[in-house]
Amino acid sequence: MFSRLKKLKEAGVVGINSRNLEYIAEHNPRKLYPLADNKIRTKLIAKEAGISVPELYGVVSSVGEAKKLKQILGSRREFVIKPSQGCGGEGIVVVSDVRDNEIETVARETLSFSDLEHHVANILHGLFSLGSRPDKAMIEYRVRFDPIFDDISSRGVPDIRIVSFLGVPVMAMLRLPTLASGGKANLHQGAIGAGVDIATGRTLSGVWYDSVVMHHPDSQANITGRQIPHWNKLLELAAKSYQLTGLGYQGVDIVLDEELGPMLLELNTRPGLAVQIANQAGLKKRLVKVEQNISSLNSIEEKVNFSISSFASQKESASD
Amino acid sequence: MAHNRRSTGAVPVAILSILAGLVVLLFHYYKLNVPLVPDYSTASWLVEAKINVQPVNDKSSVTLFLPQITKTHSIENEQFVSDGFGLATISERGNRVARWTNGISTGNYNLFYRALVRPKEELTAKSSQATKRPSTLNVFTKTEIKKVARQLNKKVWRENKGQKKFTEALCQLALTEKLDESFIKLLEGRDSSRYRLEVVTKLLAEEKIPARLVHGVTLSRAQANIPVTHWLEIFSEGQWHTYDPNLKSWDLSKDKFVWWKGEDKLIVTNNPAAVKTVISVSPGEAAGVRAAIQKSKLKEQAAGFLSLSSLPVHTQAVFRQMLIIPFGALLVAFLRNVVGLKTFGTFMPVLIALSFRELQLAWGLLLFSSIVTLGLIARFYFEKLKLLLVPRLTATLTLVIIFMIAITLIADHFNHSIALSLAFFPLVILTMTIERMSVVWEEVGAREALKQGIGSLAVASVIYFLVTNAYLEYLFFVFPELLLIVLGLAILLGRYKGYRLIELFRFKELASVEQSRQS
Repeated sequence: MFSRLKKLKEAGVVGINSRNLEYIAEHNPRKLYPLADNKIRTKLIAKEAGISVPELYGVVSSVGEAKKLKQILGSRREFVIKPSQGCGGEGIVVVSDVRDNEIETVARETLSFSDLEHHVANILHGLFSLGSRPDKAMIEYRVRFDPIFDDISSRGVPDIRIVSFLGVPVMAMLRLPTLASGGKANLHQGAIGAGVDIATGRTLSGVWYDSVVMHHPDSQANITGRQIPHWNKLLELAAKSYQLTGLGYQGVDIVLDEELGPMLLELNTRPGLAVQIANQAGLKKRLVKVEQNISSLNSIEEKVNFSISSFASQKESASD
Repeated sequence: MAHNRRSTGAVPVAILSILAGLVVLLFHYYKLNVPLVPDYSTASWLVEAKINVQPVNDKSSVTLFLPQITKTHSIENEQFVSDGFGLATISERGNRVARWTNGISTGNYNLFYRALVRPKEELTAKSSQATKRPSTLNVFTKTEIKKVARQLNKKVWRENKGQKKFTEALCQLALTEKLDESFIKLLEGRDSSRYRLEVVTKLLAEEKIPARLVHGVTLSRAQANIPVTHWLEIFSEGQWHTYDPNLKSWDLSKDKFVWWKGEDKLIVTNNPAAVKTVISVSPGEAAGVRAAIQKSKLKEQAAGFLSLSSLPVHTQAVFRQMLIIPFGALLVAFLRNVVGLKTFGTFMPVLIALSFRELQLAWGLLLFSSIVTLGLIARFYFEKLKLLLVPRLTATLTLVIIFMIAITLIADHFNHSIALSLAFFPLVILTMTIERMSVVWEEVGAREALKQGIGSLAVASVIYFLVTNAYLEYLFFVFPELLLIVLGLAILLGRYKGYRLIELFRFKELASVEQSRQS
């Protein structure tokens, strides 16, 4: 037990308590939380800053506006409904097709329009928000993910999580939905997280339910060594998010649209720690390195370059 | 943008709080000699008689017998709560009584008598006081009954010679299941264990042996509405000898406390139908605590420190249980932040543990799991009905109560009296647990929902053992300054940056990585 404790310390693994006290409490002022927790606000400030985001079709803010849902949807056949302040990916419904009164979701469920209305009502009553506070339902563009990862993601949209510290991307993973996660890209719901070499944007091994995996459990396809397109652009996006919100320690979730390219999906004030297992590396050393050098890193470019030169995967650099 | 809000104040504040707690604790312990371990063998007891007087149109008068200092017990700190009644304490035929009177009795009144009873450490010599032989004896009045009594006495005396043996035999006769026919005649149509003993005193009086009833309570554990026990005394060789007919012993055990003597009931009143009496006892501070205060020069201040002991018995009972709750909450914090167990809601396990206290742990776990299981099934059904959140919670809450009624009725059928204990189950907590669990179940999966459910019950079980621990209860009640230490530890725990025990397993892959690279 103590030897493992020592090894984890040596590997620089950050635990939940350390993350909460030394990074979140220190660098994320509570008054800034709404910028990340409220996805409508995130979208607005990102759009203002010229960052590409999935288009917001409309917002339902009260039960009385139930009719508005039909109005917003119009004749759209694909869209996403989600709570604006949901946590842990709960309450998100991704609709892939609408035929007559049959609504098909990516999780292969067939819903009726009244099912959808009920789901929106649940969102409004705060079933999925932190502390059960009343919430708003947002209806937005369904991202058409670049098909390059189709063989290693089941049903849903994969996304890329980049942990950014003071604007420096420190660690990243490609989150791949599985059958177990119901098409969702959240790790604790059963998605796979594949570590990404910060320097190159190529995937390393993956983590599934806290264990290291090399293959997707559904398709058995290899998840390692896959190149994420537009990698430098993604790193820039992660670096910009700090200026956007002022949150020093955040998880930046990005999706790759087939036509529209990288889009900022949401920001996370309490990014999970499984990213360390995916990358087979602890966060601590990287975070310390950023703290030591942050005073000389001013522009987005400097931060991205520092990240690329400092945080190349040790496995790849070892084989060089 | 520098958002550094380093909270360096936490550790000093925590240490200050712990030190303050320790200083008061050491002061209590060394200066006042308050013992760290309770000695219940010579502990004092708080006894309380609560008399409820219903409104009557007549003048009310209530007479309550008061306990007296005896060979075995002393009585201190008597308090009377008169609620507008006039009060007089008088001595009457060897008893002390309190008489409450009220000219106009329109409302519902509560009268209290409260005293601290302390067993004497050394018994004073038996013949220290010469007692006069009582002049009047309580005898049978009807001649035909007298005749039956004499015959019975003759028969019993023949086989049991000697006053004590004779008394023992009569008591045995009186308390057997199948009563002797002549004894039934002596009862003259009345029957109660108390009256049977009264008949024994009359039988003894027929033989010119002075005898009387003695009434009191057993001081063994905190109990509200404690029943009165009856014993017998006979006068022989210049003094009274007490006999416990249930234990067949001429020595009243130390936990038996004599309240009053004679043929009267505890309460004598002109409106018996309108007066209800409840006697409660609870452990006072253990032996030594009070002695410590009395020995101390700082008597006044010390009494202030220990003011919890001077509270009314009912309030004390509440505090006894309340003071230990922060300790339970501290344990939740520890199990969550240092061990890493997941629970539904932060303090839900504490509330569950408190409700388990009224049941037994196994029963509590069984009932809790079955209600939550039934609730989950109902909740999954409600999901299909598509109800709005708050009405759905209302429906779940209603069903939870229906389940509880059903379980109580079933248990009652098998003679399990869990009805009262179930009333302590936190309904709202149960309902919210069902709701949260079903959301986690659907959104994340059964695995996570069960993990958190079992985690909650595990934490609740650990806390159950804490809050039911009599020694901990004593410690926190006598040394409430321990709360300062709990406060300090909670603040320290709030700054704990180390790994959680569970993370050692969660990040096992990372530990092996480092090893393989080094080798």
